Amino acid sequence: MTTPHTPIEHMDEEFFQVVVDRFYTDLYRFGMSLARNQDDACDLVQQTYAIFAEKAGQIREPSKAKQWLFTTLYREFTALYRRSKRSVSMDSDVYTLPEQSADSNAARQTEQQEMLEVLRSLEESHRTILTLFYLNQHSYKEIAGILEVPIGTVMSRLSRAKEALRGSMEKLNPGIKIIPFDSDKKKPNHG
Amino acid sequence: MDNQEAKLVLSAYRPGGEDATDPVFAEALEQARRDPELADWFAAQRRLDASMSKALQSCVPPADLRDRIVFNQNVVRISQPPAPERRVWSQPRFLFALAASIVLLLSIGLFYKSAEPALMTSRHFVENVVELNQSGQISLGRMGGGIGELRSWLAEQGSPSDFEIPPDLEAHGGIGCQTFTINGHQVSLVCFMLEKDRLVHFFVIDNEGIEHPPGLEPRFIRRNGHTAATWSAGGRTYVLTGKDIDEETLLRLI
Repeated sequence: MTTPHTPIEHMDEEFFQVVVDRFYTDLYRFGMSLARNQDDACDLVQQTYAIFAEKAGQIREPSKAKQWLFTTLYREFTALYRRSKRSVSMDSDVYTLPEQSADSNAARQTEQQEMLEVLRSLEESHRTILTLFYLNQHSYKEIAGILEVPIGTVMSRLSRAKEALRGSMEKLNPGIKIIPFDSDKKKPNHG
Repeated sequence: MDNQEAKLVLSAYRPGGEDATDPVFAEALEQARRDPELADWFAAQRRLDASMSKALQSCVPPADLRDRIVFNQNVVRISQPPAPERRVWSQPRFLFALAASIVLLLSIGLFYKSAEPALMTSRHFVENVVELNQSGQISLGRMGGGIGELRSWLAEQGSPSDFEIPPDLEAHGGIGCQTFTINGHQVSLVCFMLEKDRLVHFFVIDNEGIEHPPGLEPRFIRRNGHTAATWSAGGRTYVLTGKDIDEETLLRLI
């Protein structure tokens, strides 16, 4: 006699798909910034949602799901890539850009590609916090929650990361006019 | 608050203005309105922020990612392994021939991504074999001869061969086998016939190729009429799958 069985997770399919539709693109962008290649980014996003499906009973609102998903993806990245010291590739085709035909669009696309390359060339802590910030999904408080660091650390890390970003962009394009954060004064030292 | 502190705070001010009502930013924003140097710095930063946000928006996921995520929702677990039921089916020769006739060339390159073997998640592995099963593009490299001969042939190909076959599955007798490569790792397949033209495919891979192998408890995946069970034991990961096979049927076999 077979024991009757049902999925132990009673994830409402509609709710799950709402959460997928709302966040999977930004989760992928976050995953891309962390892993820097498409396959690993997709793995991270899928793994995050697989875990989410298992936690169905605990998370019932998309607003609560957001921070949970980003936190989980970051933890997964930390667990899978840092702990195992797995090398991550820097494939040249890691970003899939939308096709555009007009010259102005092509120029903008190239510029955006360069900016993304600058972003992914930064050290992990910088690109992590910058990506969370530039996704426009998260307040500094939420970023603090995702990265599990104090709020003050978020601000200081952001200012340092932006400084690093400006520096890298200046190297890429020496003609660009960038106003520095403040090179004369002492930089914040926490976080 | 001096300008240095104001800049620190304003670094966390999102370019879309979502933080306009957050009191943490009020003083720094007010200072930026009063101080021209700070205002210039803040304006330049917001331009950079806006550009980076747009650049990030241009990064789009693969077209099939959403479908893959939703598909994965079908992963379920069995809380308790049921008591197995033994079934013994006859295996007419003509059905064997029928199974063998479902032969299409399997492109190893389809699943072969890089020159060096790479780890993949157990989910990736299951997805690959389920898709392979769905495609119907499975040819049997060796047919007939019993499990012992099938194992020998698999060993000759350098594929896993001394794996454990659940007794209730083995009781049906393997009608053929094949090997192929996924992510640079050898995978063995043994085909079993449950009953009249009803086949199940048993895939085996060494856990060396699997990142975070599944546990002993079987997990189930359903997709387009295909159900797969996966578990890990003895350093190997297994997948049992078949068309129009439900979970209970698979459970009776494992």
